[in-house]
Amino acid sequence: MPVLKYRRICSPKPTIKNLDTLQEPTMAQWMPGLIGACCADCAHCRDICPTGAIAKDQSGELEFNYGSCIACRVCIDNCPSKALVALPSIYAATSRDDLSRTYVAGGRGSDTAEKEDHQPKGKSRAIKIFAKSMHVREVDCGSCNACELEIAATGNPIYDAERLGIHIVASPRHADALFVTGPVTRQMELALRKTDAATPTPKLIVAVGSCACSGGLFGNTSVAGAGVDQFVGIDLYIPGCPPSPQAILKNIIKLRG
Amino acid sequence: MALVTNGNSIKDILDMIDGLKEDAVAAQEVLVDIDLPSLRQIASGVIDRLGGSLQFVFAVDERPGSDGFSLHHVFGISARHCFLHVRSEVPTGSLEFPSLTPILPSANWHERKIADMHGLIPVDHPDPRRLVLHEDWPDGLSPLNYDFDASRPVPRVAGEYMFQRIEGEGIFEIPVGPVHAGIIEPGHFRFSSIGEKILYLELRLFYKYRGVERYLQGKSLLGGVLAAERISGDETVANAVAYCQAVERIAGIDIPERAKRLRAVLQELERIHCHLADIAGAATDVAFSAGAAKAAILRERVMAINETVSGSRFLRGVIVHGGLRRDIDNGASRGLLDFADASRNALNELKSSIFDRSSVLDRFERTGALSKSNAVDLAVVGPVARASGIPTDARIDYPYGFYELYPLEIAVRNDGDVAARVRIKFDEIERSLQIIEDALCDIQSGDICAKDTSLPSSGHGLGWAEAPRGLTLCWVEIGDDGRIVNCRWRTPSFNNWPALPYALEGDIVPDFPLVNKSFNLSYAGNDL
Repeated sequence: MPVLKYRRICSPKPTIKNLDTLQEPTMAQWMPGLIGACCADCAHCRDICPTGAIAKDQSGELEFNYGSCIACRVCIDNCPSKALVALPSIYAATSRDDLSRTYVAGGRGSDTAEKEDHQPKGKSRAIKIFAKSMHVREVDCGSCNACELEIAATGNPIYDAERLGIHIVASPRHADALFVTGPVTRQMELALRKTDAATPTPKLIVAVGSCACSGGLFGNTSVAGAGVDQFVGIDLYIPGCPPSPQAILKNIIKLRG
Repeated sequence: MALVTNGNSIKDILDMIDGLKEDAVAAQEVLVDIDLPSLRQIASGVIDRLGGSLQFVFAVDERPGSDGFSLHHVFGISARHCFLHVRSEVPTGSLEFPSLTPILPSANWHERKIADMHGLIPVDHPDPRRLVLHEDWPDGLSPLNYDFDASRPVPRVAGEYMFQRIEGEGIFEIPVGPVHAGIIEPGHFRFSSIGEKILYLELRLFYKYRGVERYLQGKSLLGGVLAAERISGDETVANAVAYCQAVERIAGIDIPERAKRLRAVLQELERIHCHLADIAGAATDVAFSAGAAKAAILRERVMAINETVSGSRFLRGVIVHGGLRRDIDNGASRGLLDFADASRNALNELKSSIFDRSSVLDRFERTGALSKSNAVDLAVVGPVARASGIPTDARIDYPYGFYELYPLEIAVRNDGDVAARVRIKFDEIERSLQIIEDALCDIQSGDICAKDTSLPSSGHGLGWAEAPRGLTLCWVEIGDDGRIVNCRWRTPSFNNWPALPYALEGDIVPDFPLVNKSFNLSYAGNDL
């Protein structure tokens, strides 16, 4: 009997080559960053941001919270000194604090590498067992349905999440991971808790989209929560409005090693 | 701006509309103030004698500035290309208004939503249960009233939703949801079935109620665009256009020709990717994976094009009141034209691979047939209406922007079944490709945003657009400070959801996912 050798495929490449000849997949979320010209420290971006994602901390540094950013690009369009640019990068993190980055206000923005360390501390062994096979249940807790469309797109022939062992299942009882979207509306809270309870451990819970990471535009009211981590423990935050299929897959692959 | 007049009989209104035929077409929104007791008489007159359909009902809390609530009924009068906006006052101290549901079934959900949102009581409504707010919401708290504090948590109370019970030997109830098997949005379906046959389906939605209309109160005009873009992901452009057109009508802004054309291009791109996702879903639901894969590949191409032209796969961050926030440059335009040209073959191939297959047709044909009379009664809109023989399309009925002068022919079919709806979507994608080509071929360079987007004064007005799912309507009221005072939304899904159970009459439970997919309803747009 021949011995079968498995080689793990780690980078998501389109299985159908040259499909998007018009455009290279950019993995873009088009979130703002302070790279380029000098920031005049005018506070215009902080005032105009619809989700308060841009703030100034006590030491005078400009703090961008990518978990709250809805990638609307209003700050970029309205920056008087053109210091803000759209960054085609992915800022996923295993804790909500790591979704923030600081820049020195009034100066030239730093071009530091993104936080690469996605490895969770306590749960790493549990997550490693999903490296080759991960069954996923998706729970929508009040998104606008763009995140659903992008998660569904990870399964299409271009991204083909199944070749990475990522398989969407119909029941939380069959799931290793939950992908949760939306700020968690009051009327979905119970369903989310029940789905979480029905998922066997060890499990991985991923907040997909800025609403799930922070509440987004409509969150933090009497009818909608301020992110999924208010209700269940989160292992990975993938911000974006919505995060592209590449962003979702890349970060999942990074996390499970 | 809207034409405003007073009238208390249907004769006044008819006379007025007849007399103002030309102006009414120009204004497209005719506002009539009436007394509440004559509402029913006027509503039935508008339906019977003007061929109108009740599209939108909403209430506005006028306190504390004024006395009570105002009630707004918006009728679409497609033959006259205008909306008749009937406004009445709920008398001070009273919370009651006459329900139109006994004579107009399409008023059903609208009136129940008003009851939840404002605490008003639709008198003689046949179904006084909660709609938007679930039973654990305490009585007496109305989220759209001025005295409700939206920042504080609301306690949960005990309460249970009473499903319609169908009883008898061999009848089963099948509860489905809110968390579903596929990657779809949450909602609960309760089937009463005998064997496999569906006797009755009850929908319980609004799990995604996020308080969008409340959120919009006091927001800036730009904040309103961002929220409109996030009401429903695959209706991003349509909802943004509807909102911006409302603001532009209030402010009297005329947007540049280039912006009109590019807005049409964006709307058609959105229609194409929404319909392709739908076709892929329908093929998946009949276990025809090859067709689903082809449709998904084509859709992914559209999403990549979207990102090239706008920087967003869902075309977010482009539309703003006054025009556009970013231009589509000539390179991207050429890419779009090449794409439109190249997609026709792929589309035809996909179409024949689906409709030449007997196993697919066996499931598609005569499944989920919605009769024309049911569709008319429930004021169904969009491809669902067009598949049931109703030639309705906001781009023709209430033309706006680029479509005002565009000779659009809409696709209409009469079968009302899944096959008709899927065929309509193919027809519409073809036409959308044509519109993109026509809008871009002789486009002139120039401004993309009106120079003066300042507001002359406060005001209110309707805005609309033909979303992929049908007519989307919004009403915006702007205050003296240039901020939104009130904003109300009615997306096409809110009209089409109640028609779904009627389409399932006589079908079996395994057909439900297919019929649901062919309706392609947004939960987010419905729940708001």
